[in-house]
Amino acid sequence: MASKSISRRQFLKGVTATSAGALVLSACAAPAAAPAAEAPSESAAQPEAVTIRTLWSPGGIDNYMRALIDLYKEREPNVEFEINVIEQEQKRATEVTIMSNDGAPDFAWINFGSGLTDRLADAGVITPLNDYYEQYGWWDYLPDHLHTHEYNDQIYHFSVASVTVPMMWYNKSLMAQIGMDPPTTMDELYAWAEACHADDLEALAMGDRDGWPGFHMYQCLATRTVPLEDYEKILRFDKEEYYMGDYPGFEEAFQVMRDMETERVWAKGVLDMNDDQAKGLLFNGQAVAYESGIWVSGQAREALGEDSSFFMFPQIKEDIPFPLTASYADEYMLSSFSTVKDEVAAFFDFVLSKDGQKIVAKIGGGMPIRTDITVADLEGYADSTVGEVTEMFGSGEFPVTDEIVTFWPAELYAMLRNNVQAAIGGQKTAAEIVAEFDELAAKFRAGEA
Amino acid sequence: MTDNAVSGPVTDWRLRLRRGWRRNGIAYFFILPAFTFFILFIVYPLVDGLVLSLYRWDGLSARQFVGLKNFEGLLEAPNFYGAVRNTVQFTVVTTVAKIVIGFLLAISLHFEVPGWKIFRAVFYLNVILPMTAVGVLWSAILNPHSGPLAAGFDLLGLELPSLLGNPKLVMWVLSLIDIWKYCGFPMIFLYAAMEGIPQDLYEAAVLDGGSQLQKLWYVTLPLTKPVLLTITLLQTIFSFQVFDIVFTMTKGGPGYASEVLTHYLYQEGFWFLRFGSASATAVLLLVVILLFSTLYIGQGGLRQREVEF
Repeated sequence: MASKSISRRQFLKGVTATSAGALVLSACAAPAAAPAAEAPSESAAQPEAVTIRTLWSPGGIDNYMRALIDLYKEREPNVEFEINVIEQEQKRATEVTIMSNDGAPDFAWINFGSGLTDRLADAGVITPLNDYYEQYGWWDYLPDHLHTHEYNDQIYHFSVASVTVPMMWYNKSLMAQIGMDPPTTMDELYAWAEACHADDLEALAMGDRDGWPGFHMYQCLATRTVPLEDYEKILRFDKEEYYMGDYPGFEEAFQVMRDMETERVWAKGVLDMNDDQAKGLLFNGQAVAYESGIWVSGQAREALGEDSSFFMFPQIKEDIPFPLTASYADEYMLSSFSTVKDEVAAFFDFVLSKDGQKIVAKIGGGMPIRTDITVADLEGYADSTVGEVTEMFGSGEFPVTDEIVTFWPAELYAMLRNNVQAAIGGQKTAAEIVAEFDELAAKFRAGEA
Repeated sequence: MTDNAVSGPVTDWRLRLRRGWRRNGIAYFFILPAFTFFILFIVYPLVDGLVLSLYRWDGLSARQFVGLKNFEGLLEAPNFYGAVRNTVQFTVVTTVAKIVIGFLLAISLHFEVPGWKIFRAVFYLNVILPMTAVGVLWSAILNPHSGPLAAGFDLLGLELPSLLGNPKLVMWVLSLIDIWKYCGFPMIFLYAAMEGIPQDLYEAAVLDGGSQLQKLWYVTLPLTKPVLLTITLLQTIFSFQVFDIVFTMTKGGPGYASEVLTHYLYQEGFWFLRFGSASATAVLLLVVILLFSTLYIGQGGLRQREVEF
């Protein structure tokens, strides 16, 4: 096939003609756009559209937040949300960089225990919320958790749910099969583990390879070896009078971790498995029980149906009321760079409404942060795990205490996590671990850490 | 005269520049994007990392100059030495094993053992798998309850011992997985080097009555030596920088049993927000690798040597 070539003159002619054509077409299009320019006068009565940018992690939070947003958008059609979801592993690093500039999300879920709030507050990139608490009357909603949101006498978090850690999920049929009730004392726990093994079943599954499940479990044990009034002091370094590393219950909780391994309460491979693998043991009928937070409720019900239930970890010391458990608040921070702070606060007021709290409870597996919400308020959810737990807390039988993690230094969290593993694996004795904490506490006080 | 004396060299210099630009201008233009990329993403971060190692910085507040305190802090940190020990152990074990196994595999391919084409593909396949996938895969394999390894032990009437959860074994397990994944890397390079050996050298060796072992020793090994030494250097550097397998499988645990330098660095930077200390760790890592490479090259590791027959 012969190729056809064009001269430079022909080429330039073509380009000129095309450009002229484009110009004519755009000129024709202009009048059509004109009426749109008049639109503002018509829509002046409409509220201005607002976009709220968010940041959180996948899982329960993502589920309940999306559901909340859908409902909120029905009520406030002028508010749009730009949702950003980021994996937990990357979140900490990302939060530091992303919150420190004007491209920051308007609000972000803060990973409890990450020890970021103080640094972000010091850098002035997150906003104190005291005025909003005042404006919306939130002070009374979450009195037990308020102090965990405080830094330099300012409140820095929106708190939407209380999350219980940990609970012992179990398979009712397997529990019946071994012929035992859920244990309520340590002796019963060890006897229960033996009964499980006699039936060729694993007892309590925990997958601590990533560190955080053991961290939760340690806190659960510590609430049973340290009285409530002292619990919040055992690992708090920020005030001279707080740290109580030499409190016997602090060391004892590490020892119980180890004892549960030697007594084979933990399912085999507690340090080899991650949380999902441990969960699989319960869901597949290989283990009678599995420890994790309330956020597993939906999955447990889905996997085990009516066979799903839970018990709280047994009492350890007679003089410490049975059975305390730990909880923390699902919390969010507001960027100082946000141009829609009031709109974000209004959204959080909606989340704290009874309708909002129902969604948090039903979809997110979180317990209402508002103490004035009862199981009856959660109509339709009373038969859910959240309903059961709420009832327990409401009855006063299971008093809740807060994790004192909000302003924990990250070093402390890492050290606790790693030392729980070391305690379970028998790498270090409980006394050696406590000595390490003493050393770190001393460094903190001397301003060296 | 004076004018010429001064302007002469200048004119020459300008002339040379102009000529050079005329001759190579287009080449400079083409390398400009890559050069810009190199400056922005390699040189600048490297220099900034070096500078940062002298500061205290949490990523949020202003940098605070602390001189060499970050380095002092590292040397005093209790977990730093564990990370160094684990990194050195991992580097030595995996580098030696990968080179030896890679060499043996390359020989098998070179001498065309039955099924060699399949082996070549199979052994190299691991190398191209993403490490995250490998981490997840091996986590499942090592699952003490439902993993295939546990099932195998079960069949033999044995119980699979704790592997990732055992502080004494965990580094060895990670090393084995790394060896499994990367032994195909030296194999493919060594195989390519062996394939480049002229056939007449082997024929000459046969004529001289050389056995297979002698051919290997006197022909194959000397002629693949430069590649072997280059691969050893590369593998050492790669192993020293191990991160992904530790991050995906153990996060440095149990306790600190599998902590390595790069994971330590990550923790310092992105968990504790001590970017100065993290940079100091990176600088130390860089210095160690540079020292090793310089010594290695200086010792003639990469020098072409004459081969005597």
